[in-house]
Amino acid sequence: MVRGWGVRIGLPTAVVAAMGLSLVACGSGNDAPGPSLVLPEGTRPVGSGLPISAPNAPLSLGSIAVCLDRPGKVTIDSVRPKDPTGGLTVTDFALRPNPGWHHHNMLGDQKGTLSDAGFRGVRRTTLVCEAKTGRSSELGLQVTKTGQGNGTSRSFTIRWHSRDRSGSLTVPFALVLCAGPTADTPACAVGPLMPG
Amino acid sequence: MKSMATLVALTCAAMVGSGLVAGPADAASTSLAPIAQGLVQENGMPLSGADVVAVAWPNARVTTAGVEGASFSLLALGATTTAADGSFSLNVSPAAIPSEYKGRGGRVDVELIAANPTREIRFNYTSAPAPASPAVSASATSPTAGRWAMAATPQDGSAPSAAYVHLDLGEGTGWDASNDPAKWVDKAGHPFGVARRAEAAQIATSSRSAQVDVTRNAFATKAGQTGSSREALSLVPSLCAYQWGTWHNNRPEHFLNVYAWSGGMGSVTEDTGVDHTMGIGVSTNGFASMSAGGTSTVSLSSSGSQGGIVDSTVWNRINYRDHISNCGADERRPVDYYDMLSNDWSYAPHNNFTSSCVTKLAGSTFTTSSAKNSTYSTGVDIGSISVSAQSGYTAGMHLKFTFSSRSTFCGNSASGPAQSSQLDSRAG
Repeated sequence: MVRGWGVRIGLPTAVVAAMGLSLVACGSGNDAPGPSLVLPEGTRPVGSGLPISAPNAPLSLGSIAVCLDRPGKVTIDSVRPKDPTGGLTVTDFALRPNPGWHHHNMLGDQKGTLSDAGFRGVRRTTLVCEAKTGRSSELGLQVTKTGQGNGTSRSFTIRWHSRDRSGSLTVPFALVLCAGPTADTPACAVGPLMPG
Repeated sequence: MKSMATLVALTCAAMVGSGLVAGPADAASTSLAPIAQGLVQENGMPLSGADVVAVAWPNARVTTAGVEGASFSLLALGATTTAADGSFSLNVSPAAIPSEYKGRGGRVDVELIAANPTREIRFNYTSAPAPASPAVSASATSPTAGRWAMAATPQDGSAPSAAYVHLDLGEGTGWDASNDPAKWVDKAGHPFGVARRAEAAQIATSSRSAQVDVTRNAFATKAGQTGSSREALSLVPSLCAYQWGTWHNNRPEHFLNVYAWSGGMGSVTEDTGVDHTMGIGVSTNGFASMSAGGTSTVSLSSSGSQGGIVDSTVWNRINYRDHISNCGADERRPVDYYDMLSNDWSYAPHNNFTSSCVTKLAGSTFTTSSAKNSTYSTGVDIGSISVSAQSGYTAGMHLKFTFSSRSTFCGNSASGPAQSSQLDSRAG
C-alpha cells in the first residue's frame, strides 16, 4: 500500500494513476491544472484543394478553430503538416479571436502572407470553447510548396504548452496545393488524403 | 404472511441480483452502455412503474427473403419497469442475439414499447455493439456484458453514443438524445427549434397491446427457470406472431439540400456502406393511416456520384415493407435501396447561412466527409405520411464544393465550416 495520497490505494493503481498524470502534465506542482488546446465540439474532417502555381509562393488559409478546455493560457509552439509531399511546409502561423464569434468573416484562403490577411503574429490564446457562440480562436496558416508539382498534407499537428501542460493536437484538415489553375482535377483530389 | 412476504422479497432480490429480471436498480448499477435506456414521462411528468419492453427485428436479409403471408417472430431483448424518476435501462449481450437479428457490424433494429395500464408508445432505433474501452474491458469478457451505441450519426458530429430515449405517453412524443428533433429541419432546411420539438417528435401511441404482456410474461417465465441471465428470448409465434406484408418499393427519400451557386457548385458521392437513418410508419388500422415510430438505419449496398449541383434537393429511392402483427401494431419499415442519387432533383430555395463565412479562391475546392447531415423531418414519403431521413457525411459520403469563381462560403455553426452541418456557396 502507498500512503500519503489522502486515501489508501493499491500500488498498481497508484502506478497507473501516476503514469496517467505524467502523460498529461509536466508537473509544476500547482493545484489547478492548466488548460489544454482542443478542437471545438463537432469538428469533423474536411479537406481543401487550392491552386498555387509557383513554387515558394505564400498562400494563407484560416477557418481552423481551436480553443481551451478550461480557463488559462495556451501557447502554440509549432504547426507541422502530416506526411507532407511536394515540399509543402508551414512557413508561419498565428491566432486571432474567431471572427465568427462576432459575426465577421473568417479567413478562407488567399494568396499572400498571414500579415496581409490581417493576422498579427499572436500565438497565445485564452479563449475557452463555447460551441453555441463560436467562442474560440481562428488559427491561420501560411503555407507554400517547394516543388513544381502538387504539395499535400493529410492533416496538421499543433504542438502547444500551457503553464503545466504540453501536448499535441491533430487538426483533421487535409490540404492539396495544386500545381495548376484549378484544384478540381483527379490529381488534386483531397478525398484520398482524408480519413476513412 | 410475514414469511411469504419475506420469501417474495428474497426471490425478487435474487432474480434482480442475478440479472434474471432487469429492474430499476439496473439503471443505477450498470456501468456499461445498455442497448436501451431512457426516460418515460406522461405530459412532462416522470411516469413511475411503467412497463418497458425491448424487442429486436429480423435483419434485412431475412426480411428480403420472407415470403409474403409467412410468419416470423421478433426477439424479446428485455422487460422492466420504470423507476420513481421515470428512468429505465435494459441490456443484453451482443453474443446473446442470433445472427438473423443482426445486420452489418452486428447492428440490431430495436423497438421500445412503453406502456401504462391503458396506453402504449413505440419507438424504433438501430443500435450497434460498441468496441470495449479499457475501462470496461474486464466486464466485457463476461457473457452478459455488452456496450451499445446508436448507429445513427450523432447530431454534433461526435462519436456515436448510447441510446437515451425520451418517451412521453401523454404528449405522444419520442426521440433520442443524440438526434434531437429540435435540430431537425423542414423541407426548406429550416430548423424546428426547441419550441417545435414536440411537433417533430410525434410518434405512435395506441391502446395497450398484448405484445407488452407477452414479452413481460416470457421473461417472467424465463426467470423461474435455471440457466443464463439476460438472454434474448424468441417470442412464441402463436402468442405474438408477425407476418411479412406488402413491399412498397421505390419510395423517395429526400436526405439533403445542396445550396450552391453556378460559380461554386456542389457534388455528392455515396459509397457502398453509407448509412441512412429513415423513419418507420406504425399503424393500428391496417395502414389506413400511420404515425411515425422512430427510425431504422440502413446501409447502402452500391455507390453513386453526382456533380454540378446548384440549389437542389438530393434523393435516394428506398424499398419499404409492411410487417403485420397479431398482437401489437403493424409497421412499414425501410429494408434496402432501390436507387441512389435518384433522378428526383428539384429546386431548393437558397439558404444564406450567416454563422460563419469565408472567401474561397477561384479554382479551389472544399470537401467534407465526416459531418452529420441534418435530419429532414419529412424526408421519406411512405404512403399516408412522410417520415424522417438523415445521412451522415460518413467516410463514404462526400459533399464537395468546387469554386470556379471567387465565392463566399458559409456554414450554420459559428465555429466554422468544419463544424457546420449545413453549408452554402454564393457569389462574392
